[in-house]
Amino acid sequence: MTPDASLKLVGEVRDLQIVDADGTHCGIADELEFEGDPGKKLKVRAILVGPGAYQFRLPKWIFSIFKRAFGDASVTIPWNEVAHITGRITLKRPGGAYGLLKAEKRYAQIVRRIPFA
Amino acid sequence: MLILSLAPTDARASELEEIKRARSIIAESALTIQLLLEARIPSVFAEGLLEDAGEQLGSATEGGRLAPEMIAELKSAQSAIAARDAASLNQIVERLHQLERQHE
Amino acid sequence: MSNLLEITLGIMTAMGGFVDMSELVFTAQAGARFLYALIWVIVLGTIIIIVFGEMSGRVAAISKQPVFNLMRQRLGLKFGLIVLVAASIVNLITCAAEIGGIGIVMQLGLGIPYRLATCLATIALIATVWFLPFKAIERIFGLLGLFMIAFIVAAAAIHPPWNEVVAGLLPNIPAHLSGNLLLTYAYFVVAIISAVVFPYETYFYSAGAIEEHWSKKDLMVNRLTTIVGFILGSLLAISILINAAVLFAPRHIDPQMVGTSAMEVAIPFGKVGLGFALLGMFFAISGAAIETCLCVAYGPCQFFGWKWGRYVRPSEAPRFTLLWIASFVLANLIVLTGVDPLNLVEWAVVSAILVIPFSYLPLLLVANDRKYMGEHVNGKIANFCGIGSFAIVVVAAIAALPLYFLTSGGQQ
Repeated sequence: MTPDASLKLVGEVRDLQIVDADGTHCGIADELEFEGDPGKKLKVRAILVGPGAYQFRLPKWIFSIFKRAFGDASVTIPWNEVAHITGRITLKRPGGAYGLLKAEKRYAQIVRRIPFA
Repeated sequence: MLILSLAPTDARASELEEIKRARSIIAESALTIQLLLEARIPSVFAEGLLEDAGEQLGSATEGGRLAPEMIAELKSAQSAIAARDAASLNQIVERLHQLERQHE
Repeated sequence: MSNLLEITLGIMTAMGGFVDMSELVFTAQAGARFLYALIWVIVLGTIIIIVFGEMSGRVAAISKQPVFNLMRQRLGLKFGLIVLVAASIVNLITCAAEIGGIGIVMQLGLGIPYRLATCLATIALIATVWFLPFKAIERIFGLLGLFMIAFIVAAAAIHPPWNEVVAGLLPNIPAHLSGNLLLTYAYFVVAIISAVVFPYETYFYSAGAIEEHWSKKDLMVNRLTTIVGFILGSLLAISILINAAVLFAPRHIDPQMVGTSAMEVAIPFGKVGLGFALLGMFFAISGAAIETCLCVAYGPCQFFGWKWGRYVRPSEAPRFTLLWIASFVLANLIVLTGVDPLNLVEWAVVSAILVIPFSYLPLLLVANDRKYMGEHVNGKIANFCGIGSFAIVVVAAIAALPLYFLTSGGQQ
């Protein structure tokens, strides 16, 4: 599948694993952003990744727990940065270029304190 | 409805459960002692199992769910375990097995 | 040649890793209480785990999607989250039961006090997962779990009534069972299905396929490993049942202590047999402890798209690393509260069957989706078996809780 082929956006793209050009897991496609005006063609503009992206998909009280644990930030990945879509979404560049993987870096500092990490 | 109609009443069922558990633990202890005496299992294994059995029987006597005669049987079993008396344990097992049949 | 070696090792690993605390406990009790009447349930459970195991390996190889990501995609975020939490709790309880089992085996085999044994085991398991790569972990515990073959040898040595064993392969209900015992029999049917089809086995197998970068060329390995490996593994479970029927039932033993199962091998073969049985139990249960712990970590990582796996250094998958370490520690803390590992096994088995339908449904849906699976989509046989197996686990899930409460966990 490529970004221009026929897709069910909610069933087949949202909630797919995202991997970057290096094959690193970079999160999930938590939500999709569209652009368009009344009477005009609706197009996918971007993929949104992060707790801030799925906050409206969860009941408020559940999201408040998530917000305490993970914050409410989100990252926007332009749709044209998608290389191809199979069972996962592959991006054209490394995850860091989009602002992804920041949380992994923070937790990595904790793990590196453990011997032989 | 079929499942519920097959369900036993509570207090009697609870006592029967305890009798069955205790019967098995005592039988397991008897087998352990028998195998120990035949040198088919090492003493470290036997001691571990018998200690666990003794503790479980002790908890059952303190549980408050058993009739006094049952508690007496379990205490006899604990003594027989301590004395490594497999024959007495097997006799207690037979008596408890008869008691189960009466409850069922 | 190397493909043949890979297939052989895969089969042996699947066989050695088949039995865990739940099979040890439930198959021994099943044999002691109902003789050979429940062998067919082990066979049925094995067919189900083969069907879904093969499917999960195939989906992982072709679409590269692990089970928890499938769950999120097919069940949606909200419902998927509920299943994730439930599955994580089940995996944690199961891990605690396995650690308790290791503690018991160490106490009985070496005389180490139980609580100290569980702490030592937890530390050793953490070190094992920390230092060893995925494949090594899988192979070592799977292959050393083959000491459990001692139970099969014991079953042959005690000369069971083979005509009754064969009769037990077909679905049957023993005659003249009272109402209570009929309910208990039904409970054991559900419990054994759950024990054999534990969801963590599929989660772990699927994750392993992705960690080892399986692709189309590995589909034959996948098929042979699941079919042959699980069939051979089920022989271990069946032999535990047969031994209990011959050796325990006449003695009015309905195993209430984990160590009693090891005596199935001690009776015919003495101390040497017992040694093999305890070694087999130690490695099989330890393997299960590692699998369930890693599954607790796989869940959130696959669900939220975080980096996961033992194919990278711990610091390269930091959230996954912290999660599995925390899981081991938490599981050990549960054991240290003094709860009986047999109770943990009971709760794990009953709660697992409730989660199994929601774990398998996404798998079935994706395995039928040509957009993801291409030419490797489910054929008619796979679908017939898949849908049939799914229907069985749904029925078992519906019956589980009522039967658990009505029979007091099979104690009636």
